Amino acid sequence: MSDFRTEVFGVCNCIKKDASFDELRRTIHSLVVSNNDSIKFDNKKEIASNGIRLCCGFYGILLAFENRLTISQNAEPIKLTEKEFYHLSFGNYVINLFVDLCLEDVTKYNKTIGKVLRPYSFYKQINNVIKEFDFDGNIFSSAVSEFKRTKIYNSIINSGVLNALSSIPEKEVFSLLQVLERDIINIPMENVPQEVFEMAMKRRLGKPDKQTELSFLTFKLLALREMLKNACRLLYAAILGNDLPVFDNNCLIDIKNNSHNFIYRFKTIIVQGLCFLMCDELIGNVMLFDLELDNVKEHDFGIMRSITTNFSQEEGNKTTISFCTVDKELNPIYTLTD
Amino acid sequence: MNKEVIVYTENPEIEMWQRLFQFTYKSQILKFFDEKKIIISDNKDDICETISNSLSQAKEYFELSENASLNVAPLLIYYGTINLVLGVTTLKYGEKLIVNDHGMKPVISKTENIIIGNQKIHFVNPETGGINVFLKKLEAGITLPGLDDWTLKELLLSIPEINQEAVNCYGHETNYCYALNQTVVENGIATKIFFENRDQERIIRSLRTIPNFDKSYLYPQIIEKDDTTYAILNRKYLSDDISITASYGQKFLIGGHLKGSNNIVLPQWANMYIVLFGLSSLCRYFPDVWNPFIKSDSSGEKLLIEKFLNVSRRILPNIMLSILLDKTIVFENKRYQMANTTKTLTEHEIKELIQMELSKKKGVD
Repeated sequence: MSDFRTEVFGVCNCIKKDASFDELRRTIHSLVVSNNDSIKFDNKKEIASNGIRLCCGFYGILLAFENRLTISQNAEPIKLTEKEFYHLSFGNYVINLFVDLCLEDVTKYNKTIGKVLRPYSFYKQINNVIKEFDFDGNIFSSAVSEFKRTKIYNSIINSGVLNALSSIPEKEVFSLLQVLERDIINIPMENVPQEVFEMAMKRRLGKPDKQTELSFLTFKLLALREMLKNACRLLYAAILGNDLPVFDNNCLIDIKNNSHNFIYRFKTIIVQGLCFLMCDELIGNVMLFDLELDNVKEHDFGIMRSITTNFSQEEGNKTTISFCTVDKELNPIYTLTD
Repeated sequence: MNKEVIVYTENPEIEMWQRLFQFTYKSQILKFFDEKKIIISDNKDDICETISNSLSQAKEYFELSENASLNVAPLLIYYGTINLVLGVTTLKYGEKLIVNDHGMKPVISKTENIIIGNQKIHFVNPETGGINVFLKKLEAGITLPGLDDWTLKELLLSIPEINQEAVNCYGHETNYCYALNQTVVENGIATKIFFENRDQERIIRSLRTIPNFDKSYLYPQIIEKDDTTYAILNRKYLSDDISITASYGQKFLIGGHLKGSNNIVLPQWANMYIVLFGLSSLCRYFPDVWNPFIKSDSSGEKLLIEKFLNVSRRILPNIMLSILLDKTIVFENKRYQMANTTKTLTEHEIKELIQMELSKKKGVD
């Protein structure tokens, strides 16, 4: 029996081999990687890199160019060429198509929830966008089915929360999810906010009140959003042609920390060498921790939350990576929502 | 790896022989068999006499060698070593060993400029040759007869305690000992090996001759800084420590010797045992080679040989005692110190702790 994570990886494998993305790959590469030895500051590359740093795929790059995300005071217009804009829009379209298919039923029940669950919905809107491309969305059908079979998705659909929130203004729904993201996703993994701790304890002890139950439903909305976000990161990486970062016996020096709390299961590992991804950011990206020794086997997919690189001629190059594990539904806060 | 036992002493050589010498007494031998649950298959008395006599002779030979010159010192130490190894092996396994000959023959080349290191050893008689019998018992899996000959040079270059002298004498192109220069740093221990040559591929090839290197270490990072080249080694997570510790405490990785399709690392006692056989053969049966060497060596190799003999005298009994007791016995003159389990934090750890507390406080507020 399959699961959402496996199906998303299946889609990624197909996309990686798909030659129709080659032009897009060349476009991104030329936008980000410098070909000449000139030390002259390149505005266009800077904007493209800033777009990538937003960690919202092709949407981020398009947003960066539309809003001219640069430190340069130079008033010269910096635009994508028509070809570049077309290819980036294509990449964005493909990822958006996947999200649309996953959320089509949710959007039918509650348009606002459908909107807020979109991974890039907290960013500014892109005004200039190409809306139609010739791309067969059937490639996503298995992954979309599995998404709709996840525990989180079904508990939201069956709980009535979509109807319950239909009367709440869009702005407040967005604020709710943004606050949850700030207080649960964007905090150090070791920390558990007091309120979350108390609610989780009540639930564990079998004494949840109505407010706790409602809060947990909102946590599940957050989890669903994170699941889609992680899937989109994987699709973005696959479109670029990047492999999944894998940390195994051949680079692992030490496991510094292996912990869990009410929200996350997380590890901190030290690996030899430097880590980087072509045209992508490591933070927020999915990785695999694959350790296989005689008496120790660990096979965890995770989201990289912090990376510290140590360049040292005494100790050699080392990277310390902290990541939270995700379950088969790509949910990083499964400890909280299960 | 065996547990390390520190023994306080002001005179290690006296102390280690005293510990070995207790096994010249029958009651101590029988007590040892009882404690280790060794079942004696042969005549118990014969075995006790063999052990007692071997160890007594070994001690005397070693003591006599202290004041002997290079004319006879190698012979004395070699015969002491045969007796020592025989006594310890018989005691450890409780069985009489059949040893008919040395298990080795010297292959001596008489050239105008004698280089002791270039003389070879050929291994014979796998069943009852001394060195082969002992290797079979103490180091299962190593069989030397039938393989290529070994030079004294390659054996001397495999002994950490004299490696510096051996490299000075024979050059660094072929070395088998890689000294680990270790520094305690924030995240653990940083390990470096310095190399004379700067060819990265050659460095990697040399390190790959160390058995199980790839299993225990991540791919080396080669750094060229100023005029030095070194490899930074990181152990793989939970991997075995394949280093050996020299008698003075520094760790080494030992490269293998390629003999046919076999990559062989001999135990340290065997390296010394075989070199002693080579030197004693030279001084006993090839005076036309040995005498000119000790009278008029101009290369400095004589200093290396003298150092080797002194080191063997000190270390071989120590190694055999450790093998016998299944512990690493270290003789030191440091006074007893209490174990200290308090933790000292590095600057980085203190900063991390403060940041964590501040984040927690922020969350609560």
